[in-house]
Amino acid sequence: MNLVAFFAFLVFLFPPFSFLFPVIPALSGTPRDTLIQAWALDDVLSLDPADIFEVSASEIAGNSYERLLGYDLDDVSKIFGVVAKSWRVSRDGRTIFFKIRKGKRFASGRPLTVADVVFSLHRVIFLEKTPSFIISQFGINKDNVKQAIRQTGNDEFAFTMDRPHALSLVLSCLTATVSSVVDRKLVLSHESDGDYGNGWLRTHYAGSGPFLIRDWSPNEAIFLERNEFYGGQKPWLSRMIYRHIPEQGIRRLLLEKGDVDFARFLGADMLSILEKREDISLLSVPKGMLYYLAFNQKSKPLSHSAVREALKYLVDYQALVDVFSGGRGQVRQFFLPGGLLGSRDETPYHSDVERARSLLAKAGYPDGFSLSMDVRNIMPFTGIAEALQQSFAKGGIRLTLNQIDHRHLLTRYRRREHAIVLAYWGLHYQDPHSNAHAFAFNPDNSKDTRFKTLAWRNSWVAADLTALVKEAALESDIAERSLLYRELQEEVRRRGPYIFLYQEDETVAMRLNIKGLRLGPSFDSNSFRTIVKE
Amino acid sequence: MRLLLFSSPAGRIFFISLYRFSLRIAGFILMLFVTSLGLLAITFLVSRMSPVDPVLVLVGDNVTGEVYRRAYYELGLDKSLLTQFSLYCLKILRGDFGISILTGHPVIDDLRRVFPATIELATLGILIGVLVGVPLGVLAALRENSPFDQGVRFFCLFGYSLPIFWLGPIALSVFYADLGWVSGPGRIDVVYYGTVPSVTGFILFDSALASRWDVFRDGLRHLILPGFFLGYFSFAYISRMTRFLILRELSRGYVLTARIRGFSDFRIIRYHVFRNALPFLVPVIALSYAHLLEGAVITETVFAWPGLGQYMSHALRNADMNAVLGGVIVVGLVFICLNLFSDFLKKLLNSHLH
Amino acid sequence: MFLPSFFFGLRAWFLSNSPHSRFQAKLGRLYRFWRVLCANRMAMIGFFLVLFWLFIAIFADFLSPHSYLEGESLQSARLQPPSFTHWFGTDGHARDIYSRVLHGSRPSLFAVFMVISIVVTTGLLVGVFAGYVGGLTDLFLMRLTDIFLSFPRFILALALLAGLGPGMMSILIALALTLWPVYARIARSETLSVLHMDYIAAAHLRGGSSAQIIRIDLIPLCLSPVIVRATTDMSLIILMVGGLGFLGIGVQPPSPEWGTMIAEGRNYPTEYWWVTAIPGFALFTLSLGFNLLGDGLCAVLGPQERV
Repeated sequence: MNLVAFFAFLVFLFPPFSFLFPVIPALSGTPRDTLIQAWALDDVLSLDPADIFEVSASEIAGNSYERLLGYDLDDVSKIFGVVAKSWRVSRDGRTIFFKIRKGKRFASGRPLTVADVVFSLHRVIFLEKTPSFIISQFGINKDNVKQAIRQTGNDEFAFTMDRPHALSLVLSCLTATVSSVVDRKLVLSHESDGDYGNGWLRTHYAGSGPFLIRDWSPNEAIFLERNEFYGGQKPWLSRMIYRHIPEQGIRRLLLEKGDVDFARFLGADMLSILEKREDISLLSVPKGMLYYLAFNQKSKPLSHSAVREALKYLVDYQALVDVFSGGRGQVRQFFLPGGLLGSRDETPYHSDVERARSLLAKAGYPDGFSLSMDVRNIMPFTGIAEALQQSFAKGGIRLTLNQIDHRHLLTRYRRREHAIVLAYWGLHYQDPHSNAHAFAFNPDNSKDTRFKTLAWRNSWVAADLTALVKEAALESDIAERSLLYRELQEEVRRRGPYIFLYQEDETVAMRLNIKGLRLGPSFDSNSFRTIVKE
Repeated sequence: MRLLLFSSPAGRIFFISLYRFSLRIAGFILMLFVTSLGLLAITFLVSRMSPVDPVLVLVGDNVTGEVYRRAYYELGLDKSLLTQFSLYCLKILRGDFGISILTGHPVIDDLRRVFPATIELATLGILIGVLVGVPLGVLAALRENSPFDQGVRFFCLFGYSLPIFWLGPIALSVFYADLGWVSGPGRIDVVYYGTVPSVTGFILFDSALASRWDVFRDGLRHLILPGFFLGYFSFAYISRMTRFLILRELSRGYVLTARIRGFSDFRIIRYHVFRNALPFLVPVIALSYAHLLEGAVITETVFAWPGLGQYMSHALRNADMNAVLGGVIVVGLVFICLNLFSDFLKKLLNSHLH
Repeated sequence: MFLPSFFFGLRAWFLSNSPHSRFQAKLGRLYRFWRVLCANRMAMIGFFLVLFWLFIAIFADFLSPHSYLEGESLQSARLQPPSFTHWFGTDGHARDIYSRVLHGSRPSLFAVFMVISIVVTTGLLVGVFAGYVGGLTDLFLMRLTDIFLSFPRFILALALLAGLGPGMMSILIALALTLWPVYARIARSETLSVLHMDYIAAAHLRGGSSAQIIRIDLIPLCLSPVIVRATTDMSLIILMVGGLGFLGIGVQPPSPEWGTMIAEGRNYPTEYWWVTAIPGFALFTLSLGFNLLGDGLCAVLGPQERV
């Protein structure tokens, strides 16, 4: 029976053996000079600024590259030079001359010159990646870019457009991630097949910002370090790590245990629990993102204007903000988020079932109708969709939900296969033109048009508004321009196939010892340079 | 000499068994080939059935009709299904699984990066399973129908029935958040990233090679909870099979003969029963390992373990077809290999016995 | 006085040594089997767990006090802890979890019965046929089962779900494709073990056609190992449906399914434990029920190696 004893020994040895592990002391907290963030980094596809169009990558680029221009986080209309020192406009309004600041250096130690700036902008046009439209919308393309963006002096270059666009619009566009300056020599040394170094820069770094990107291991973490060559005030932190944690419940656990300093993108319910904890503080700032509903005009009852009007009276706007953002957001019923040129804060719509019913009766649908709504399969989209389902039912409108993943939804939306879609839209740059173009511009409703804007995706044609969008982009007088956008918003609110629901704040939950975080209206303006850990 | 080899009875038997053995091997390889082809056919069909436009995946949301058409032809979507399939197989053979839209990297690179993490986890799982399962199985068989046997059986059935996606998060919040006995989700503490050179891709090996025992301990602390869960499942299976095999062995005639001849129980079990049953455990363990690799999809999702499973479940939720199917092919092939190998071994052992 | 005597009479009738009809004999056999099973306490627990959930799945509509699809006011009734109005609390959409858990038994049990009926029928037919005919057909069919048997079940389901889109259909296909070969193998080996017995020869002499012999003499023989195996597979199916739901590609919300409910619950802080704990426990009890029952049946009907 020795064998039995032996096996019994093994079996009973195992549990104490495994309980030895707890005794091993773990590190407590994060290192003092390092900031660790927990975030779902699954949208980081590339770290090349000519390529970046997603939320997390643009925040990283915003902290590691310097852009031509920047804007005041409290007032986006105040634009200042970052790499540029000053600018002047030619008499015909088509050319802007930028002077470059001297003395800036890249993380490689090389001085930043005007040739680097021109090269960076050329690459955007030549590479034709998704965000290139921000520059190419000024009539700049592969054929004319060498003339349109050219060096004109030792520290000066010219930016020539096809038409005299509004200066405020052009400057706003040049604050976007695409205007980040890359190290020409370094990038070109890694060029292959004429890709302007894109293949290399997707996973590497060649910039001059406060932090440098040390390493990116996809779906695990991104490592940033202080850039010792940075021209401005150097960051207090010597390291910053983005950790990929897809589940928000786990992000919260890590934050509470102090294994990370920041937890990003927590749902409203998580935040309301964390709010009560004394060792954690929350910081909320409005972001230029809107939740909206869009109605395909090819769909029968939705093309009736009274029906659309009725639906707008069936939504309980404030309840959506309260429940799905925990009150961290504002009701928005126009296509511009707050704080932008021409933004409107009024809320003409409110839940009014009687009025909705009478509008539906007028349109010939006294008993309502059935429709399907496409929605992403994650919270808060599913929650908002189910809330809308309940409130539309009060007007007799029966919604069936088609819950699909993001890319499936985009495919259907772009093929115009949806009836109603619940979606999320963000500004591409801090100018009203960005959203005006998306929501109202549709010069050609055919299948193969160049402009597959949101208006096109919903088959909504409004020739007068398309013209108005163009006019507003060219208006040089700020006050006049602001009026045009106010008018445009009012028209879209009245006639458009959209219900704008609300604008959400971004809320960062962080350990109490972190001070000095600055959040801006877009993700590329979130700044970690000023953070101090106590 | 040669004559002797062929003419002597022993030589003939040797050659006949060699012939039979090579036939078996050939059969094994043929099965492997056909099954793998079947797997590829399924993944190919699935990729063509996907509701997500493959061109859109390649070129993104904001392109002109011209770019779209170019990509359409580049993907070969205008050719016949059979041509597309053979092109697909060739691509897979070259290790080209396409580009993942989630990471922007070739899927094969991603797989190479995440697979060691999965192997590490599954290996710990199987170790726990064998170390606990085999002795418990033997004991249960020796004490058949005793309360001990009943207890082990119930414990196993419990293991079979537990949904890990339910218990895992609970365990995480108890052992990590409340008690602090184990480290949190993930493979290693993020501050340790890059502190040891990646030689094998396995944190434990790499840190041991670099003599960084703090990293080693940290890796172990992260590994223990998910490893325990995977181990529990393989333990359930292994201990039941061990019990079954030992009982089968105990019922054979020689055990009775040996008992009559007065050998001690220990000697019988140690030198005969266990030794005879042991080879049959190998296919059991191989099969169990295959199932662990498969089960890792859920375990890794629960514990945010950056391995193949999490990679796949993530890709699934975002309809990243290339990544999902790449993972399916890799896990599928390993699974098929282990499965067929286990089957092959079982048959070989059985025929050897007869 | 009448009832007990009726039951005693019934018992004697069941256990009669000289049954008057085939029906009586069959019932008698079933009754004896039942008695043996009753002696196995774990099997009985399993049996009643399964029965309990079956009952709930059938009568879910009558048993649930609230709607399982529509929630109440989002502002006031979300994430309520268990109370008298909501026995198991409410979830993030202000829906009653008690009603949802009851209805959640349906997709799991539906999948179980669909898959098992498809798989057992195909497996039995193929296996008995292969064993009976023998030769090349047998070789071909058995190699085919080998191929399907070596497919990874869960991964195959993942692939199909990725292609066909989420939903019950893909789960059924994936499970059916990978489970039938097990039954074919069992049926074949049972067939082979009796094929050369006298009573089969007698059936031949009697002039029975092959189809008759397969139907009357062979298939019923294979049933008991098949039942044992099927019961344990049922718990596997339950866990797989739940697991796929957890990964977000199984049964789609808002329809209630336990795995999907657990996945949804992970979006809420652990303070609202009832959102995940209760569906998880339901899933566990049903799967444990099938496992215990399967284990008991295995002990009664003869040990089987788990493939």
